[in-house]
Amino acid sequence: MNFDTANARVDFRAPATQGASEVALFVAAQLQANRLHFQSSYTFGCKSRGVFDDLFAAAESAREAGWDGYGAEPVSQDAYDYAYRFLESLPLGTPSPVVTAEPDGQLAFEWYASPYRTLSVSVSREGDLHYSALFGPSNARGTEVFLGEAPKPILDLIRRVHAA
Amino acid sequence: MIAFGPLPQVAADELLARFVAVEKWIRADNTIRQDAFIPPRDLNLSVTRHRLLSEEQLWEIGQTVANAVSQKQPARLFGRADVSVAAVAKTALRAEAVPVAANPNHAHIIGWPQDKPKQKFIAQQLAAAATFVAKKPL
Repeated sequence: MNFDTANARVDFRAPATQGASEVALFVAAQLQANRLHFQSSYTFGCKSRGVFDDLFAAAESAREAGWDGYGAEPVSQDAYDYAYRFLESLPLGTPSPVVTAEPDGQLAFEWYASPYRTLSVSVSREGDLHYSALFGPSNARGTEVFLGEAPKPILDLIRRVHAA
Repeated sequence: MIAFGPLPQVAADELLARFVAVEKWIRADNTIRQDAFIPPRDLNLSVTRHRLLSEEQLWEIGQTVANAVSQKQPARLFGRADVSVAAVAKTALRAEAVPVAANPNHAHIIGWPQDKPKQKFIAQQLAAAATFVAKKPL
């Protein structure tokens, strides 16, 4: 099996907006299109920085059971699709994460400053975002359902990890 | 060949090795990512007790982990994350001896919560407490 991005079954490309009018939908669609365009730019987006390639490579390397030598679960197409959309949903200028696969078949994104100042977000096949951050002795953790936009608690933690 | 008599239960002053055959689990600064300590679905995280093993014997066991991967795709043993039983106990988990034919020093880290964010928090703590030892290429 190869991971298929072009035919992703999980589609959040429809504009995310609270408004229902034609104008609101048009504006949201334009914003979405612009964000995807800028994701392709070196300066603003993750795409040109190879993170999407890393995501594909991480999923591919974990597509068969036992990929870690210990009996790990394979990464599913659904987990890959959700992870792809999550990455796409990150605001422009967000620091690039490192992408890995986890033994339970989830894909993980890590933002890292040091072993005690780090955030990891796991994406499940159901579209849940499980996260845990270490800041010295304190910890922030939880689960957010991914509905097409990067959840604010996770964005706040990314900023905190990378704060000067 | 590694041969032992009856093995005692895991003691508080022992060291445990988690072998790493996934390169992305190792950071550029030679620390280990939490992924290496995320438990599988059965919540039994396999490790090897250092007890009575030489470095060479430890790597011999580690190589079997990489060999299990290489039956499916190109793989090699990159190293091991050594973590103390005391660090495991700090997270409220415990280590239990589970000898197997090929590895009498095999053990499980058990007592994991079902909740994934809690698992990640514990895995981050274990990773932060662990020391990564790179396997020198032959």
